[in-house]
Amino acid sequence: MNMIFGVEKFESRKEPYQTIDGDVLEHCDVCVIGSGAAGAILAKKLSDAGRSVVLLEKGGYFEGEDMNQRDEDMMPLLWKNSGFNFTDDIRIAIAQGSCLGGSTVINDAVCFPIPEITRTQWRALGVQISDDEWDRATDEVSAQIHVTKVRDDELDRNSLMLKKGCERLGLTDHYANSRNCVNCMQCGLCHLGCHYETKQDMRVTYIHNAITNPNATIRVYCDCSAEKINCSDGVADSVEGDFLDIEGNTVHKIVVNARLIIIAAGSIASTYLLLKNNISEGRAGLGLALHPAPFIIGDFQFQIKANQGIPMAYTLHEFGVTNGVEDGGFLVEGIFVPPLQFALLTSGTGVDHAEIMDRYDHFAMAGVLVRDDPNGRITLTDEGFPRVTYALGKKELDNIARGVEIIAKMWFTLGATRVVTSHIDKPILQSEQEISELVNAVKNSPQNLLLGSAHPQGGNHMGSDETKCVVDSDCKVFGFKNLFVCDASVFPTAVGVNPQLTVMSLATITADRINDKWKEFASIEISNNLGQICSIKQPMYCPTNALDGMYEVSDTKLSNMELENSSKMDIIEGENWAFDVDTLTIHNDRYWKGFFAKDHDLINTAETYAGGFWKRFQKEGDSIKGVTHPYGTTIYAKNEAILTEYPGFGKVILLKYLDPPYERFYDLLKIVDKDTLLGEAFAARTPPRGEHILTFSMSKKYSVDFMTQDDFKIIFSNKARRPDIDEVLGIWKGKLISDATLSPVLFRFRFYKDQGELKCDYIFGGFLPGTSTTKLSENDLLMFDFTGQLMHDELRMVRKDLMVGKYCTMDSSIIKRLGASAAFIMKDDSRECLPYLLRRI
Amino acid sequence: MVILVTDYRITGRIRDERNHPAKDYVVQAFDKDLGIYLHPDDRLGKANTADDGSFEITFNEATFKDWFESEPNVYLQVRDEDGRIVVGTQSSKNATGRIDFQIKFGKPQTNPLEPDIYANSLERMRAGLQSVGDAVDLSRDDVRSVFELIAGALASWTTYRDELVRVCGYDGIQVPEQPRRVDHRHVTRWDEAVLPV
Repeated sequence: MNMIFGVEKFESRKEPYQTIDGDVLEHCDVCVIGSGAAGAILAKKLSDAGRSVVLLEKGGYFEGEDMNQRDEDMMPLLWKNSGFNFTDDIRIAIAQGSCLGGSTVINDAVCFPIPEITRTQWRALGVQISDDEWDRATDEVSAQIHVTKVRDDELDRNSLMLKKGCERLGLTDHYANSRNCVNCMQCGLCHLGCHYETKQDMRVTYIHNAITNPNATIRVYCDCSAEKINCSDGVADSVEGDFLDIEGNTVHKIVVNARLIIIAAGSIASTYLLLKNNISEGRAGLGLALHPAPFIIGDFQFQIKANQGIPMAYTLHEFGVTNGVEDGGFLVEGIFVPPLQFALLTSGTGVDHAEIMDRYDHFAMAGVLVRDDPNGRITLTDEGFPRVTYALGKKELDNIARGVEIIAKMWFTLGATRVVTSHIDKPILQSEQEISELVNAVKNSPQNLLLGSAHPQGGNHMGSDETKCVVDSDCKVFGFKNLFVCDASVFPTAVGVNPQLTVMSLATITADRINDKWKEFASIEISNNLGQICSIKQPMYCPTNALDGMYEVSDTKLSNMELENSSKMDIIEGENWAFDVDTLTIHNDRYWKGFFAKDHDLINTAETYAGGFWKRFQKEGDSIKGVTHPYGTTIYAKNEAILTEYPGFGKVILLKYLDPPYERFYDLLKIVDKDTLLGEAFAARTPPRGEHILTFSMSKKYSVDFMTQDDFKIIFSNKARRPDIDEVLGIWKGKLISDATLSPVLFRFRFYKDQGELKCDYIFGGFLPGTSTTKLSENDLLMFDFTGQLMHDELRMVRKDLMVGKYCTMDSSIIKRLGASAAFIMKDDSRECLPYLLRRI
Repeated sequence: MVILVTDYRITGRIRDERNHPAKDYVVQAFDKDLGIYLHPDDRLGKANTADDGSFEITFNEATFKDWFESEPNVYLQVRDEDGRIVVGTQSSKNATGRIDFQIKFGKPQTNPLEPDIYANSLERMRAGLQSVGDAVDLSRDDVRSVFELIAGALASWTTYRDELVRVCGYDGIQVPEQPRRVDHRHVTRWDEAVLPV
């Protein structure tokens, strides 16, 4: 059954809804990342055509009745980062939605088709989409989202002020907008989500239609942040992500294995995904346009009450691409915003907040939407977050200056007593004579201009030149067979008008092309990647309730004799130990490595096994005997494994402890497969009536994240090499290695070149920063920190996204002074070291 | 600027649960009075909704004015062809002479067990702003100054929000704070200004 899933425990929703209660593993034809103007359409059209679709959305699922019309409640729910989304100099506020339906839920519903000039320019840049395709797609979308022109009786007073202003200045090309709204309730709060569901956003149209189509197969996962795209040899096979609660904590994980993956998360988020996963390196993130927009507010003696009615209903096209301006140009659009957004927008004016609110009913407002060149770029910060860098060019400044001049003149002509601007140097104009000062301020002090942007576009340009562009005209990523990016990020230039209809039309065309060429993709095998989700095949990732549940429904699949390990305890590669560098998996038959549930409370349960443990078995005649050893102890508890069956447990392997004081304990094991078993530990009474202590899992196959110090030694010596300097550049996250516990990410390294020399900035534990110098030795990359020669790092590379290292000293007292737990200290000949692994961010 | 009002106009549009125009409904406008037998609510006018769901009612001072009131305290009732009241609006005084109602039928389902999705919303906004501060270079004077302006606006809003709404008479919020938990109807009412331009 088609379903929307999320983390919140909603009681009643219009669409079929289920709360996520554990990790998720999916296999499907198509995985779409992002449920906005493009993603929703792609998901619907592909599922209508018979493909099984999984749609991932980072934001939450909210319906009309959740929109309570209050800025401070709705912005955290619907807006990316609660509305605080800026360029890196905080000069441009970028409005983006983060919820099911994306920015279409919070936008003003303005619909302009892609202008002819823009289509022609894009074609010259290598975008092979015909006029006929654009027209058909635009018509199809317009019908689906009910695009209609604003009626004269729907023009609110803010729009009428703009209209009057245009007429007074003798401007002629201005008219009411078209919007995707049916019988708008004119509440004026489009930015806070439509309580009445008259705005035809993606959620109430395409997503609703997809979910309710009985012939479609679609599952929508909200509160789900896609983070990793697994690819090899030009084939993307799976997406890994996290489910986040309302405070941003990871609560569960998801892996989606798909034939085809489409990234449709918007300019910034799509680029983030590409950069983070090293896709389209050197091309992704370049050429970002923003439609930067200043606002100009007129303060009038009479009331206007501009919040009453459709916020964006009227536009002056005279200077824009819609009136034939081919290079740059701008639109003037009437707009009004709710009071908190108004307060934030006017924060740079220096006018007292209370005074601003006192005059709220007397303001008229319009903005200048500038068709900018792609002056910006998106990169990743040291912590791996997206950073937007943007600079206005002369053309943009000239257009902004012209636009604000026109609006300011309009307001004064209509009787404004003052005009409020978004330039810090000239926030208030007292008369028309001061407009020239504003124009000069814009041109000469652009760094003090505060702007808005609701239309980030570009960053992953579409075109035919695969050395410069990220996607081709099918939105397929160059170099990949089955990976697509389809959203505003592929626009080769700014479109010049509010872009949602263009994005939707592009998604329609792309979906049709994918459907037409489906045979190419149908033959791609769906992989079986498990990522880090809880599964019976990898129970070390499971929380207690999942582990308990899996144990209860299983019987042992294999007999006790299959517990036998290698006769040799030393690592002999190829015989009892192996390392798969492609999957980063260790196969260790020396013993069964024990794992607690990932949410197991070690401290409060005060387990003997608090540090982790292993079990090792050998045949003795017809029986199988073993030892259990908690790491870091001298305990080797002898036991015998006996196949048996107990009521309520099914077929199990009884692990009977033989010697005091352990004979009052026993385990009941269930072998899942030759490498995996589940177990429960008991005490106090005879089996099967003992007191249950804990549930655990054991494995002979595990990820490098769980490597022991013995594993580390072999990998470091035999499976890793000295890296080249250029290979390590970038950011890495590090974990300490112990036999016992899986440590969290404890530190970050950032390698960079400083005047040709490789250096490393580190931060340990989130609060101890520093810089290390480096040196290449014959076998290692060496690093030296504030300890000088007392301690140093030795690093080797396993593969380009994984390194192993050790932080060593001859003086054992130093490590103790660092406060490192004994579990993490490794003897290395005469030295003591802290071994660790590094994963590239 | 004070405008003396003697003529009043109520306009509006009604749509059904599926956003289709609600035609041929009877809209009655009333002025709420003291409610006792000497002062029943005054009838201001009646209109049928047109094909597009729109209606208009005009009235003047004489229709409602009592010694104790200078402004009409207007509410509507919408009846179907059988005379049943489908929607009734709250009453509110009007000083501008122009009122617009946008009405959508439907009684939203409420459930007191719905989670409070707005809990800690201001804290989350502050955290969002804080994360911006963590990501940019606040050692730059120009960046820090803008960050402080935005933080100041948010702080002011947090402190003075209710007062500002009350004192400035912001009328934008027309649904309950917890719409999933509190019964309400879908009515947007604007007491409109008249533009002199």
